Amino acid sequence: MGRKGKWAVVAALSAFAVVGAACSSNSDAASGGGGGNGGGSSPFEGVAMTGAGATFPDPVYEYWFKTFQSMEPGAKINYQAIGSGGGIEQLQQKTVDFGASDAPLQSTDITGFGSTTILQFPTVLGGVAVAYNLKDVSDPLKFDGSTVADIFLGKVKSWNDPAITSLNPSVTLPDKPIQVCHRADESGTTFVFTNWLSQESPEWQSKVGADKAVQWPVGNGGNGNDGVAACISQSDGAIGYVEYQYAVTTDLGVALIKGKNSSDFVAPSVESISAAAGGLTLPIQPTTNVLNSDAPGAYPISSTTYLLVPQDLTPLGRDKAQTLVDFLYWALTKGQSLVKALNYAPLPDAVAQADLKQLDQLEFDGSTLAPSASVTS
Amino acid sequence: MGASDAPIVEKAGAPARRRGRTRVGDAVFKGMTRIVAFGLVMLLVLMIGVLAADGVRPFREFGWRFLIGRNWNPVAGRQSFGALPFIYGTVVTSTIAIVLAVPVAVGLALLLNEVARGWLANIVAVLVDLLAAIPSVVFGLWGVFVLQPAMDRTIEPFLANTVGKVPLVGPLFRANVSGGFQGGDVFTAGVILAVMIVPIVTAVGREVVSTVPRDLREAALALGSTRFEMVRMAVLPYSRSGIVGASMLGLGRALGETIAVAMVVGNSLGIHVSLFNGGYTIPAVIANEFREASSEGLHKASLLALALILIAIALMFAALSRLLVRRSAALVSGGPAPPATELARLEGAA
Repeated sequence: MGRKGKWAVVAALSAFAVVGAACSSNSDAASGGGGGNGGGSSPFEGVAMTGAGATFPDPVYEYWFKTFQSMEPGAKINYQAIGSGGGIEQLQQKTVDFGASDAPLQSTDITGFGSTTILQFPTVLGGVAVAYNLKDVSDPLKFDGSTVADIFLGKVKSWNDPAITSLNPSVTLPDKPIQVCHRADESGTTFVFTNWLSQESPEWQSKVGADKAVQWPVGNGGNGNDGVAACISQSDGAIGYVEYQYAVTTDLGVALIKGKNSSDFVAPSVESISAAAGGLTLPIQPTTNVLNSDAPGAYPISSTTYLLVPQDLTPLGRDKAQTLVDFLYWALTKGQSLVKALNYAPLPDAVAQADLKQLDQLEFDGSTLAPSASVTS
Repeated sequence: MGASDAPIVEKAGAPARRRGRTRVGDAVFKGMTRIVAFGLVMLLVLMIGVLAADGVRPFREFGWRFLIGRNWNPVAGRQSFGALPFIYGTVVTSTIAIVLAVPVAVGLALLLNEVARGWLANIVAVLVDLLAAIPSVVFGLWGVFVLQPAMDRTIEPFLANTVGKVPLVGPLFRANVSGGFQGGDVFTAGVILAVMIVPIVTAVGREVVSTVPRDLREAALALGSTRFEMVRMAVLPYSRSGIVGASMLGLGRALGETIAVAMVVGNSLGIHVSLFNGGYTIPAVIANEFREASSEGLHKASLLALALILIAIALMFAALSRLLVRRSAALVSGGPAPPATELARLEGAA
């Protein structure tokens, strides 16, 4: 009998739990809807919406969405950093309101969207730092693309190899084996880095190629930026690559990289990465790239990232469309000044202006949507 | 059961009803256990089925060369996948783990049962059990920040200067391909795995050793043997099959261990003679590469195929252990030892 009683209690409790969960999700939905209904009155309040895609700008986007909510309190934007490919796929299936990608849309992606035209808005820039761990060497080392490629090909095996010493005549380099560290998981960082190596070294291009993950000729893999940083910091004589914003938070050595058409060696910084977008023009083409930019002072291993928005916003409904336009306007104006704090690089002014102009191409019911007063003032 | 219950039930005063209820209870219990058992088998079949549905693609694409292929190239347009580096890494790290862990675990089991008694045995036993409770990601962190630097700076150079000079096994302990000892490697991964499987092998080994009949020990002692001779002549032969079973349980854990290995094994495709080179295991590559939602089809299929191969390796070892357990059980005079059959069943279920 006692047993039975216990079971009854368990059953009752679990029933409560289920009902409770159902209630709380209901109330969530209700409050989201409430925000939307309130959007009709004078200061536009924004509505909840979802986006998905690139992981690289995720910290910026999260920060933006949070701050943007203080402009439009109802605008709860839920962003899932599932990777650029996933973001494009979900936008094609219309399971999200907007997408995000680190690479510009390719022709196969564009056919995947069918009759829907997608506008791509560059939002923020980042760089890939070549980081190393070399005890007793305090001066920052200088590298050019072909030397880095040869190191990652396993052809340059020692720190005092002539290829490195000739670029760093003033530094005494030890006779230590080079331990290469790379990403073990798929990543946009790898995509940018291997694309740069492919541009700099024909041998890399033919033997390895460029993608989010490649078959590394040498070296050990780490999971995520932390994994690579751990791999580098645990081995004296190790070299690897990490996102710039990650490199500045570690005490690893960060290499200066030789610019595209100059003899200058450029350190990655918010300014030099911003400068890389100097030549960016809209609309974005499949081949658009800020890598190896020949703009003055540009850091060569830089990349940008895009928000993907359908040109015709009618299917979203007026409130969502207005929220999206407001958010984009805000991100490209006030939002830009916030990214430096996160060690991302803002767009150069000219590119931000071109972006804002592209905003006019967004349509709702055949006419453009002006950003609300809450973000323009 | 029902028959022996009967007199008690009659005393209670309601024989018919009581008896009926017992029968219903028995039937329900039987049915439930059957459903659970059948469900478990179905689950395994379904899992293999789902894995195989996509996992056969690389075999179709590359044929049996997928098993011996050494490329793992996910670059669009150059895709080529082979399982050999991962099979090699999985088998080698697990083998290192078993070679290092089993002597330690058997020694611990003997210590706890034969030598130390009372408070010392209790403390050691609790400590070993605590080791089993440490999450594997913690082992991984310890591996990256403590074990690996110690390996790189001290242990591996030392081994290279000593064991590395011995003929035959020497080449296993030489500097890695970059000419040093830096970086994660299969040896470090094997050592971590060894630490991780010592508790389970010790725990099962202890049970096995404790089933050795008292008469056998006393007979050995009566013949004038020392305690060591008693262990060697009476305890070890009787429990050999059980120890094999215990080791196989440990091996099963080592084969499937993911995160701790991924953090120290180096995640590198090479197959080299020296154990001080980076390697890659099947669980590690699956954990590292399965995340991106829209991986190119063949890449994902190849990861699923690796999962199938891992299941196959585990089943192979399980079958092998049953065989070993049966053979060594037959070697002990007096037929199969009870703990051996018990373990064989455990193994089969795992």
